[in-house]
Amino acid sequence: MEPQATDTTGHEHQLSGDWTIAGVVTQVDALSSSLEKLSAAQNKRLHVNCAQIRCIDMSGIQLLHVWLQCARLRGISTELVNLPETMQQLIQRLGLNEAFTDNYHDAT
Amino acid sequence: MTIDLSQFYQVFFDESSEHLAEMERIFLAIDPANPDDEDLNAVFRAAHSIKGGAGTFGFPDMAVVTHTLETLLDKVRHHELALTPEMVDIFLQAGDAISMQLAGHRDGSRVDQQVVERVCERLQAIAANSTAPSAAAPMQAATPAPAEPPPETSPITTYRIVFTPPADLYNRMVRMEPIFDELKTMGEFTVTGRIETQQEFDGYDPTRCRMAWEMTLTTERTVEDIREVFMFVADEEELFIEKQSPEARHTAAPPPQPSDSAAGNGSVMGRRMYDRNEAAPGAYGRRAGETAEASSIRVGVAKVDQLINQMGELVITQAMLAQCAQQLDPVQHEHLHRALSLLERNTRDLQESVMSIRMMPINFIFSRFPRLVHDLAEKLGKQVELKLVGETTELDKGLVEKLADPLTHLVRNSLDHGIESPEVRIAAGKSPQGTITLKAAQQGGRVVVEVADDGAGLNRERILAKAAQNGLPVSDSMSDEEVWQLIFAPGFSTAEQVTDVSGRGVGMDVVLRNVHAMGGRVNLFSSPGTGSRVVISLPLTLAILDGLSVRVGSETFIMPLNSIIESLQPLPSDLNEVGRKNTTVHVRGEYIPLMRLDDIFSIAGAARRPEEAVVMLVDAEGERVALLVDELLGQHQVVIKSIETNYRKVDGTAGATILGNGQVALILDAVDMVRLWRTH
Repeated sequence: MEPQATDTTGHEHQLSGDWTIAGVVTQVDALSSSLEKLSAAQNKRLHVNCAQIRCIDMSGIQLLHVWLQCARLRGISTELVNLPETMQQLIQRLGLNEAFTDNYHDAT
Repeated sequence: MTIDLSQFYQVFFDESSEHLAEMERIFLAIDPANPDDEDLNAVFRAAHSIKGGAGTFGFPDMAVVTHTLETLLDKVRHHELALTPEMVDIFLQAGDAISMQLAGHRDGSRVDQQVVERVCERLQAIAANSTAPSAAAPMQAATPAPAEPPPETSPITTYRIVFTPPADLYNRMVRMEPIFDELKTMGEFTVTGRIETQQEFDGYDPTRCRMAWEMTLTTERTVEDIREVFMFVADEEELFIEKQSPEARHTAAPPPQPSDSAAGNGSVMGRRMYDRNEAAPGAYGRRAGETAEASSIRVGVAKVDQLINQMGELVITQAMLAQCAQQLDPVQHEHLHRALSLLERNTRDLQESVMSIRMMPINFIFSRFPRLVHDLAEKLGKQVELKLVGETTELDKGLVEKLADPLTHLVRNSLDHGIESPEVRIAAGKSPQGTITLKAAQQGGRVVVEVADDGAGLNRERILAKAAQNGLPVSDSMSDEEVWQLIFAPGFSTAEQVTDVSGRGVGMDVVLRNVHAMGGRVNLFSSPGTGSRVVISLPLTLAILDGLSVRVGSETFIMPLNSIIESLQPLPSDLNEVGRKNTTVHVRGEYIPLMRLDDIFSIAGAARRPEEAVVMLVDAEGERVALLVDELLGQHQVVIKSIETNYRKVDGTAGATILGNGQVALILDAVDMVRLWRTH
């Protein structure tokens, strides 16, 4: 069974599944509802665990960035953790380290 | 963590095959001494497209060969390297090598690495011998290698590059990483991506690209070189490149803003810079003068066949309704009759549109022959000009594919056995250059394809001798036509005839069998010293035809409309008995033999006296015969159903159909019926 796209437990938010152009559309609804829950929650610091992201491409990176940005606008401070090696490389190859500086400490 | 590209492989294979065919067509027609710039640009674009696709889809072996080829073609198109006939030959060989690699990836067929390496060596040798500095790419490269340095050393320049992609970038499956990697190989490179700020997440469309990139590249390369790297992904206005003085860095140009300009645009994967404007000359590899109407979509043949089958069922249903309505009073049911007549017209229009999907120009096969003739003529030391006539003639796709092998065999035969060597031709008072003509034309409901040569023609004595030697029944009194038919006999080919060109184990008997299997016929005409002509006649389509239903006794038959000349009821004075069995009908000064369908198909209860029945004059490929039927029933559009699939071939027929009342009727084949009647 395909794992849930997002899953919030305490201070950690888990991302998983297909984050390529073939799968990003299916991620949006789950991300949207989790954003509402996070806005309502007391805890405003969140680790976003990327370990379960099965595959990701430019569109997935863009979606993730926009989601993190929207979370920030709602007062939630996020930090990306456990990025798969290929995801790290993709961010770097696309010149997006700067764009993720606030959320991903290894970015710079 | 990469996109599964395998779903797009077939598109890449199809596109690459088209590009390779286009390259071959241009190379075969090109005049090396005075090449057309448009042609050179077209072959370059073709090679570039294949290279790009191969890189994107992970076929590095193809990317390496095409890169080497593309590098040379680029020099040629910029007139830095003069084109020679030898180079054209090597470019053709390179095309073959790429085709082989393509087939390897597509079908898993064996790729002869030695051939590939030899071609690469030859391409590199041309590059090394050219006046420009080294051109060849490293053979071991796993991805498209960097382009070669320009012929003259340029000063090192820092460029600021801003790429603002269209919103449909992701849907086009474009990946930017390889682009940036390639730029990195060109000099000192930095890239910074920006993602458009978003306030709201609800309703966010993640498939639209909202990124933009700003890059700096310090390199010896030119702006054109940089633009070429983006050729696969960027349109002119999406790419901004400016030279920067060191102090001016980061100050002059607009910051990159993700673009939404292409929002809503339908797009095709892998579309290139020059392909963005569909109507532009050269878009999608179209040549100047070709218009956007040529653009197409790819649909699986199975889907089209399913559509045609369903169309056939609809035609039958419509016929059933029409038949039912015939029993209803036309005044009382006026609206129904009007609606049914509209249904008939719409069904016919729809049927024509659907059938046209399967039709394709015969050029699909003809286009392979320039190369075949070029190579074989060279191998045999003959001078041959190939003339193609009627390449746009359309034929059912199934027939086009099946026609390829018989035509190839006939062209090989013409080259090997028909056209004489230049010395022999000169001695015979002919031009040293022979001509092979491939001609296609639509004649009524059939397509006629001819392979003609102006060679020596068939040798009657030799054929008779060989036939006798092979145990075939022959006599000196046989007519020329009968003698020519002997070469279609199984086993006619002899060791003496077999060469590595045409004696490949496929004889004329196989040609005949293949053509018969398509519902076609083969005729051979030859004249000593002036050449031979093989004429293949094929049905236009295999699915639906317009026919006239006729009754003979209690049976109903369909005669294709295009075979019928006229129908008449003869007067007793028009009928003449010839011998005990045969009758002729006198029609406007012509005596036409009468065929009785009840005799041919052993039908009881049919009318025997022609003056009490109907005589239908039909055209059996140039021969007029009269067919005796009891009654003409009506004109129909009928769906051809194969009898052979479920039963066996029935002589004198071209299949069967289901009539509106559910009854099965045989579709008559005039030519085959004449043959049957003669043997009766």
